[in-house]
Amino acid sequence: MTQWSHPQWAWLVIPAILVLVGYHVRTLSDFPAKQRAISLAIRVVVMLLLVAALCGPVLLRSTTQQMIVFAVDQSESIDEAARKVANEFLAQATRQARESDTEVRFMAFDRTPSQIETTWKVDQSADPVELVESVEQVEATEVTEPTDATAATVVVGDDEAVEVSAAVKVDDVQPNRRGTDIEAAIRTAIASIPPSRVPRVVLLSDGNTTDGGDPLAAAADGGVPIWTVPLPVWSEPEVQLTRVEAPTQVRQGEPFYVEVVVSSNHDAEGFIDLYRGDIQIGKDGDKSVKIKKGENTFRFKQTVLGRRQDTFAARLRGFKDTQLDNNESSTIVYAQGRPRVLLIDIDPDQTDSLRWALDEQSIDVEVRPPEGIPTDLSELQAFECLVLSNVPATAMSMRQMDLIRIYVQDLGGGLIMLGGDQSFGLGGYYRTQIEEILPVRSNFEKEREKPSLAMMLVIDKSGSMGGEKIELAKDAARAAVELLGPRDSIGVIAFDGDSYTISELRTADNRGSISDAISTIEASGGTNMYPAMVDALEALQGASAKLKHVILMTDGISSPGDFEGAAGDMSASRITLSTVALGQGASEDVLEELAKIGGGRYYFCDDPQSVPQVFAKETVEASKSAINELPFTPQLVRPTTVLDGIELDLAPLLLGYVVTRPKPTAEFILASEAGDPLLVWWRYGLGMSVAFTSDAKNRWAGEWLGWPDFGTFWAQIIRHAMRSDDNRGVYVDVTRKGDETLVAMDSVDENGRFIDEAETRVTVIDPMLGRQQIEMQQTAPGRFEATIATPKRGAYHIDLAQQRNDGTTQRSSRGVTVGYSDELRLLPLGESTLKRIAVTSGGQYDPNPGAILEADGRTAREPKPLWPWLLMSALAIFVVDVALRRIELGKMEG
Amino acid sequence: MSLASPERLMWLVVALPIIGFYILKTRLRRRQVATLLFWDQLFEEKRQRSLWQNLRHWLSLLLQLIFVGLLGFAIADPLWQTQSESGQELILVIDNSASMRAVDPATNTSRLEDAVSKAVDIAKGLRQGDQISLMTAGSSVRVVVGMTDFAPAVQEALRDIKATDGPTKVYEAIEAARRLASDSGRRRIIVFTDGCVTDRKALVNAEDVRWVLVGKPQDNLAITIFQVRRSTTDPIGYALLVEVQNLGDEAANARLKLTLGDSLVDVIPIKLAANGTYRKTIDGTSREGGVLTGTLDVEDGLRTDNVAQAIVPARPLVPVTLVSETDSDSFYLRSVLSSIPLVQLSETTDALSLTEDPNRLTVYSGVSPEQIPAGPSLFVVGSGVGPKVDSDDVKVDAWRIGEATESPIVAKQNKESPLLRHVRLQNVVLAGGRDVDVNALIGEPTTLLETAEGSRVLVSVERQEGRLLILAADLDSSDLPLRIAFPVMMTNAMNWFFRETGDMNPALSTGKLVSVPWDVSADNETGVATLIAPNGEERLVTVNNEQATVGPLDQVGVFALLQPASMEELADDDVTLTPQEWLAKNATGDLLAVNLCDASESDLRVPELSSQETTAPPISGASAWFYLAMLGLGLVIGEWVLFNRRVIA
Repeated sequence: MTQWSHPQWAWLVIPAILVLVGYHVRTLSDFPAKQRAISLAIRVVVMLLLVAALCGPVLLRSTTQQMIVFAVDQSESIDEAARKVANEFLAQATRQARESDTEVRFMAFDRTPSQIETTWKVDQSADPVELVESVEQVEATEVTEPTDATAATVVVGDDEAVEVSAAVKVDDVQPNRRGTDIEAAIRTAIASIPPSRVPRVVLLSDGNTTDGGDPLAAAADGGVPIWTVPLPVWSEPEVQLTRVEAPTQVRQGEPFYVEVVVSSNHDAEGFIDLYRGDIQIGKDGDKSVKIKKGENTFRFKQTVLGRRQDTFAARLRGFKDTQLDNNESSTIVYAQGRPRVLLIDIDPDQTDSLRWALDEQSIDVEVRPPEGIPTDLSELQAFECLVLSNVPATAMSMRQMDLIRIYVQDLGGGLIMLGGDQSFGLGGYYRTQIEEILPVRSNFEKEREKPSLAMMLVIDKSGSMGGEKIELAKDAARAAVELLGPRDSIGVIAFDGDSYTISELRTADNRGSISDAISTIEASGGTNMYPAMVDALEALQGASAKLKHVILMTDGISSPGDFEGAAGDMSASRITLSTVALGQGASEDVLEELAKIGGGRYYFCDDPQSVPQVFAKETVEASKSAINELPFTPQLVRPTTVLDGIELDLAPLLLGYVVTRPKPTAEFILASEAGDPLLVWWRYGLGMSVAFTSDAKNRWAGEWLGWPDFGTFWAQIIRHAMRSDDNRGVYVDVTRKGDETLVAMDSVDENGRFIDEAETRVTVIDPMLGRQQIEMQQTAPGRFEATIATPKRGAYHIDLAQQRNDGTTQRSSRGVTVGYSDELRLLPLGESTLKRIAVTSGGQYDPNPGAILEADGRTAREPKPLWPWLLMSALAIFVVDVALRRIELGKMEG
Repeated sequence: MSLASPERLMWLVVALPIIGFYILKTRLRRRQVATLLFWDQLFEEKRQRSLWQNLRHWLSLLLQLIFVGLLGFAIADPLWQTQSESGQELILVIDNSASMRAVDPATNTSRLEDAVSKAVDIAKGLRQGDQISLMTAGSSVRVVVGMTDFAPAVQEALRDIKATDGPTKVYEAIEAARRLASDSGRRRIIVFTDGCVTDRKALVNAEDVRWVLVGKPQDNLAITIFQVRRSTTDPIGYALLVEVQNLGDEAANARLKLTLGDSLVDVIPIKLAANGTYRKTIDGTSREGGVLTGTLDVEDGLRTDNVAQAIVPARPLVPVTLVSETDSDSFYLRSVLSSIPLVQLSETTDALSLTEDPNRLTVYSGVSPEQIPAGPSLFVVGSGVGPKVDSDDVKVDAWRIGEATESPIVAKQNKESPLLRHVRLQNVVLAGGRDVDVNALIGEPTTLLETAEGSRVLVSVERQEGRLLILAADLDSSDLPLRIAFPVMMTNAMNWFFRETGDMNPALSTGKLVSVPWDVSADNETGVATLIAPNGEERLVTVNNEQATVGPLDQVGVFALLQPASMEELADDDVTLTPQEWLAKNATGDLLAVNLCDASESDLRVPELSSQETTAPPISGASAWFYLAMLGLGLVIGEWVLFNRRVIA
């Protein structure tokens, strides 16, 4: 069969014939007519051949020449033994193919198909570490043989098979191996076979697909027989925790089962540890359990009490196992019930009255010391509200503050800060993330009548302070300068081996120049703090301020000196001394002793990040200006429904408060008689934060504890601040599939009618605390859906907020944990999948390597361009043409 | 410039015989003449011309040699500089999505036809050494022709491309094309699309991608959401969410006609401003359910999106037998049961006369059978003795009823249970509420309602032979039956007893991969289901964990997902059955409605691209041999002319 690529050129024949014949008729040649006619005929033939060549005729030869593409599964579920099977199969098949002159191509695939190659490199399937090396080798060969490197991309279908080196990209191998997409592999393999070959695909896989679509559909669509070769699944002893299952939503106290599914490919014995949060639970922990080959299910009866959310995790221990990455799984259980409040107090014993009062108001309170501030979001999410009662900023890390911010801003949690001598400015919250959330500021206008303060900052600038440490120390010093009132004065001394006065004792009015001076400090030299202490003492002795204070900070061990003597001198001159040890290397004992002698406080900062908080706390504390301990009755500044039913007129006296300044947009509810904020709140992000500058315990609120409205007052404020998560009429379904999680929310109103056109948003906090907000789309009556990407391993926290037409906002929070990848799941051989692929596409299941070359009667059309042959014949005939010109036929005969 | 087949240059030796012919001196012909008188004179006059004459012979030779040279060179197949360095890998991506069906009223050709003809032009211009392949990018990405150097194969395949009903997948196709041809230096991807894609800003040329836009902007109205689900309160009610968008720059009017099966449900006039959206939830009632079709009565650019369908799940009638002591008892229970539209209520006072029927719900009000019958049962119990159950040949109570309590207020409610979906009974006084202590022998009990004292007043039991629900209450004196929650609870119970949990059969969208719940073949291990297309075509889909993976579908309409085993007996080789016909024949399975419902696909306004972005890459132009052969053709004719017109001496 012949096809013409450019048949339009055939039109050239007409003018050409006309010209040829026309000049033939009007020829001046004197050859005999017969010879001229032959000459014309030959010339016409030459012309026709040329035009035919121009039309691009292509001969479509029917061919049984096969091209076989081997699609080889390289995902993580294929272990060494399986690879060996695959390589052996490929080696045999390739040998057979070479003998029978069948073209073969190879395509490795995992989550994505890789490039088609003409040779199979065995070490391509090596372990990741070796793989990196092999890639380097590849790069090396590319350098030495540039022609080969370009040849690597020669497209299939080229008649000359080119030796191709495996061009594996190192960076996308690793994550890609954690998945199998058979569908994409089939489609790509089929697509890579040119139409001129009889196509056949040989799929070598374990048949377990984790990504992509239905391989069956791809097999049916392709129209190419797919022969499937099963590769063995894990042959090494392997035990894995397939999943931990629990109801996503339970009631407080309701018993439910945590189901732990363990898969194994052999009978084994070991331990299953169950954890709730970080705590191991379950008595079975010490007893070994026997598991059988296949799936084993264990059930643990659990209840959630006093928590909003709990993470249940199970771990396998002591089994005969190869892969250790898949021995752990967890799930998040959400419990409905009474609101939970986490109360952090320096002195937990003092909180009893508040706790009892709230308990009566159906609010559960968990009291912890500052060490119990949650360190991960899941733990914090178990509460609706966090109350910080007299907790200094120095008691928490930057990360904990960050968690609290995310909890309030993105997950709608409530934050209440109560006053005390360690709260607000006194707690060192100046310029922290927490102060950012709070509705009040801790830097305030210092009142005139307060005693003036003279303070010396003595900062270690030795070489070991280099880098971040010195920068943070400088920040801390600048913050201290900013916190002082106009009548206070401050000086800065830096020391290494010597003492350097960075800034003389000056009034804090000169903030700018003092800050500039601080900026010049650079770390270098040794450590000797004695001269600096003496300098500080001398500087303060001359000062006229009523309060005199020194803050001494060092991160090392000083050359010896009479520190105690200096501290004693300070004490004698009514100068207080606080010391800060930065890092483990500091001479902690000495510093602690000095603080004791100096009548100040001693701080140990493991993390230089917390130095600014220490300085801020010290400064505010030393200036003794932030506390107002005059008894007062609260003044209602702005009436609010939150305090409905509470007779504030009858409220007893409060004995003191921390002086703060309200932020401009905050709601200023109660004030002291001096007009300072007592109760202020505002909305921050999705959550709410409240500042109550007095306290809820004996120190200042002693008389309030007996007030009948005490419990109501706090219950109403807490209810106002906390996340309202009542979930009425809301059903949230969280389904994870691969790297994505579908959040579907069905919502009905109280009468069971679907809620439509409500603006619904989902806020997701990923395990790295990254935040994204997605608008949920209504897809059906009462149903809102969003797909969130959950590619990382860990816990994702989800806050759903639905703005309903009646003005209310319905909030729900859920969590989802992402475990190890599906690829590591111990699955039986996907035999049925492979068989079905073979049957659907007309291939064979589990053939022997020789059989794959069998012809099956199908043919392909191989195009062969004919133009060179046409041109060759034209050239040959042209010689005859010329000959006819030069030789007269008649004469020859004659 | 290099040669593809330099060995063929040997054809140039053809020049040798030609030169040989010229050296072969033409022997002068001997002619007898009367006189040579004028010969010398003429000879002198013609001397110069004879030189010219000679030259003309030389010219002829020259032309012939050039001809031989050209052809000989052509046969060796010289490659252009660009070709010899790297042959291009040309990938034509044809968008055959739904919007490509739009017909330009001026030319009466569809966008797809435009795209195909433009693509054919480019395929024609394929040069020697280039490779070409063809992909389509509607609904799903398909490689129609793998890499080949034979352009007519592509041209032929181009003409066979059919439009789909799905959304465009051009970006995915570009990704796939990049995988197919991995050398970015040689790869040229040409996308023929109307630009009706989700992210139109991304229609920017990359190094290796060129866009060829087809089609003229048109206004269009489209149904963009069409989903129906059963009401949670009304047993036979359903709610339909429909969204119609005007994807045009002018206001438009239309009527939306809704039909359920063959009967007209509603006709809604819709007025839409430019770029306006109409969205409404429409309530209706139907027990039988069926295919709910929405049709926009409008003439616009695209017809596919003027029709949308959804399946209203059928609510089967439930045979319920109420067993009570006398007719006067259970007044409330009877009225609530008979008010549930799905219930076929029958009554009896004789528990013994009942035949066992696992498909019937038996409601025992105040009376108890000797043994719990097979099939689902609801017990409304008072103080009496319950049924017995065998335990090691000893008859024991199936459950024990506790003492009456003072004020049985419901304090705890199981919110997980489907039985209490949309039901709130907290703080409701349940007169006659007593504790039901179920013997674990009959099944696993779940407490649904609990009073403040801890009495379990409503308990459900999972049992192999049929589920049980036990309510300890005196309905005739309690206010429970008067509450809206009671009929809702009973409706939930009907669903629960007969395992009818899904109240929604979501309509799918073309071009998306979806998991459809599929528990029909839970008892057999085949792991496949058969998907029947609206035209009767069958296709197998994989079932995993009771989820069938369907899609991406490229056709709108009503599909059916059937259990293959149930089809075997019903199949008739000669007749292709439609999805509805299969179900009418009682094949096991469900209907699936598939719609386009994609606003960006229905938006037929073609985005503007700067001219630079739309230019086709410089790919046209033939191979060198073609031009050489063309020149040769010219020469062979020219030489003929020269030869025939020369004056012979």
